[in-house]
Amino acid sequence: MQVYQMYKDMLYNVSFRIVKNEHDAQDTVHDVFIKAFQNISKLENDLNLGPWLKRIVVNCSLDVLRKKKKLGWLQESYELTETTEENVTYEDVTLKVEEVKKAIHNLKDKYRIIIVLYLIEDYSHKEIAEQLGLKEGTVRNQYIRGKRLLKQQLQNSKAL
Amino acid sequence: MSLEEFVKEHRNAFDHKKMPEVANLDFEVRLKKELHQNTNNLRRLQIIRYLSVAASVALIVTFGYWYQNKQERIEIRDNLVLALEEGETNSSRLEAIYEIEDQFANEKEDQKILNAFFKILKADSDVNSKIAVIDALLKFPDNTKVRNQLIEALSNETEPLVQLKLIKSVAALREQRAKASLKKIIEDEESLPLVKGNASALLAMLNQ
Repeated sequence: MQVYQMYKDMLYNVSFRIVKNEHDAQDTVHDVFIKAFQNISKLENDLNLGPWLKRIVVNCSLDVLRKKKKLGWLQESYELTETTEENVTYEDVTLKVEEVKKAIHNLKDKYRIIIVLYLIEDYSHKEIAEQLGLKEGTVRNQYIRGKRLLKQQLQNSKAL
Repeated sequence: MSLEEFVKEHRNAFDHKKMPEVANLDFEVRLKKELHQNTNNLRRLQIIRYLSVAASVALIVTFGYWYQNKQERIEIRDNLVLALEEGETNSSRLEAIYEIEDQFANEKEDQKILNAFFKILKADSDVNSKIAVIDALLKFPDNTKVRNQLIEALSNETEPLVQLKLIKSVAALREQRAKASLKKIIEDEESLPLVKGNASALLAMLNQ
């Protein structure tokens, strides 16, 4: 229970950002702890417990979406034409965490999940591609597009 | 500041949600259930493992006992058959016949023993041994070989006491194929009147 108390909130936040549903996120976190207890022997170093649990919660959360058939867009994803990343800075816009969170939350799943994994959970494009079964180039382009949409939303909210 | 830098700087602020207390209680209940189930499964596995080991040991011991017993029986049989075949005196042979009867009284006929008995029946053995062998053979009335050997012996036997024993035996077996042997005895001038009389009576009975 000590481990549970220590990591439950962190895992809950990770899961919620992916599944976008409090109840599913709670269930996922519980599943993750049960799985982790059953497979604790596979953990080679105790210091990696946090990252290890985070990996599991990301997997399980994506599984929840798969079960709910909310990852259908993966099949539709194809190698998008190369999109050049704009080196946007937000000097002119004062960013607020709540607004960024809200904007990410409102993105379409196909952008949101990649943005969340890359920006917040620190996954590389390669790792996201492996996790979702996509090409790395597709993930990279989807990320750029998602970021562009995010920027648009943030600017719109400022304009209002 | 780029978006990436902004998120990195405010990373902790993105983890604002707290797991509800109710969910914590749910988890405790679920964890206990899972652990209990695991303990039960483990205990069940252990019991199954112990039982399989015990069953295997019992099986090996039983098989070992059965095999040893069988080997011992074979050894006893071989020794008795040897005593039967090589018995130097009539009494030692007779003793072997009775011993075989006692030892294998409740068992299925053994071909090696039967063959040894058939040999005595055919050979020029003493009367007592032959009569004892006929008694022993009559314990297997359904065995075709036994019936054939008794009929054959009736045809070839010349000792009156053995002849009488054989006549009574084939009478008990109601063996129709003994008619020819009986006629042979009746027609034989050497046969004793008592033997002829018994043979005639049996022939009449079989002809009815």
